[in-house]
Amino acid sequence: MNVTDGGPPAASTGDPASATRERDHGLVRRAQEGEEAAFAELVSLYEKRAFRVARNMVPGDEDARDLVQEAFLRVFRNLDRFDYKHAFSTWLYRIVSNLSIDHLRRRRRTQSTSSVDEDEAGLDLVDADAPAPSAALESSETQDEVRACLENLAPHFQSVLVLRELEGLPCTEIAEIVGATHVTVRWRLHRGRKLFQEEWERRARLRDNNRSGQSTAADMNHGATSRSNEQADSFPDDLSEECED
Amino acid sequence: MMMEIPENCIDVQNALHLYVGADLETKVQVAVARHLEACAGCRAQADDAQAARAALLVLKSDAPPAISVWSDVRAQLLREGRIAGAPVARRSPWWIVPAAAAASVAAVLLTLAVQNDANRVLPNGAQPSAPDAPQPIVLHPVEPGAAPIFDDSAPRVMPFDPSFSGASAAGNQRGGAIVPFDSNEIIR
Repeated sequence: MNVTDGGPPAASTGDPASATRERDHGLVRRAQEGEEAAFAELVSLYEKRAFRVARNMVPGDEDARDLVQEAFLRVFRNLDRFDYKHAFSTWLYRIVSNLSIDHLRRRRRTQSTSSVDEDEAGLDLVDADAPAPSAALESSETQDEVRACLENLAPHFQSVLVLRELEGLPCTEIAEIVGATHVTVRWRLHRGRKLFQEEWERRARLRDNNRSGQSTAADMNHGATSRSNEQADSFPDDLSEECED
Repeated sequence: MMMEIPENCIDVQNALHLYVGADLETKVQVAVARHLEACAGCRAQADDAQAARAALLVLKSDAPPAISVWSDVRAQLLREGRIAGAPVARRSPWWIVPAAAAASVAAVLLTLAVQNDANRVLPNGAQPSAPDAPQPIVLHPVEPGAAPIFDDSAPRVMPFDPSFSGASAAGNQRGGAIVPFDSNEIIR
């Protein structure tokens, strides 16, 4: 992110987003002047959202919490570089998503040395003889399944999907957050949704086959093909940017 | 990304994953919708894309656990010397507030009870007497020429005897008798 020393905040237009932006800029300015309470308020205002983004990108609440903590530390260490042309939330989201992407890349490098078959390991096959789960449990299992599909995507697809679908951010803001053009963000969104659908449907077929006791070999092979396609799509040359705050 | 108006099924199918999230330009979005009304094959693909997207959106209803990172962030910033080490406002135990409230209520009730008691009129019409006030301690100086009260034949009270009541510049009161303060007594 291009960050410069603080200038005047954008003029208020009276809408809630603008009011939020001005409030945040005021807190940043006070934090820059050394007011600890102002920074504490920024943390309080944004930690939940930051955690939600991290949690939807990395598996495990603890890892997500650590990432959020690290993100706020980086924010504080670089407060004097904050660019008042941007919203504070954009800056924070950028740091959180970059940290999450780095975390995922490190994690995948570690996992790639493992001999465990990811298709088997990442999929909790349903036991057909088990009693019917409660609605809450079923909902929780669906969420786990969706997370598993998301985690199967390359990190830069994941971040765009999470920011667009789960945080509801517009593509223009996502472009600022991920440091890409608007066109690239739309392409990642299109591709990410498509890959998510393929993985979701593949897992649904595996569940169905498991219930009916059929062999899953064909689907497993398809999954491997799907994965290799995804990997080929995942890291095009122009998308291999490293984390930079 | 395709921005042109879709003219055939391939164009439409390439736009479906943006169409399901309403992420196309308005004119393209409208054109795709119009195509889907007429094309069952594309409509089926749009339904599949929509179903997958709906599955993804279930995570929106997943309430994240409560999180509070400020204390850890602050502790780390303190370690790095980036913020001053002012004492952290410690969170009071949960019982402090109800206990303080109960104590306040008790104090008010006690005050009211005492006032009521003071204003109470006895059956004979008399006011209740005030509680006994502490009697002032009167020190009587030893008259000149009087026989010494303190003599060697009297039992001695050692300085650290528990019955020793203390000392003052005016003198000691011991067993109801007033004796002049003798600083030598301390070391005797």
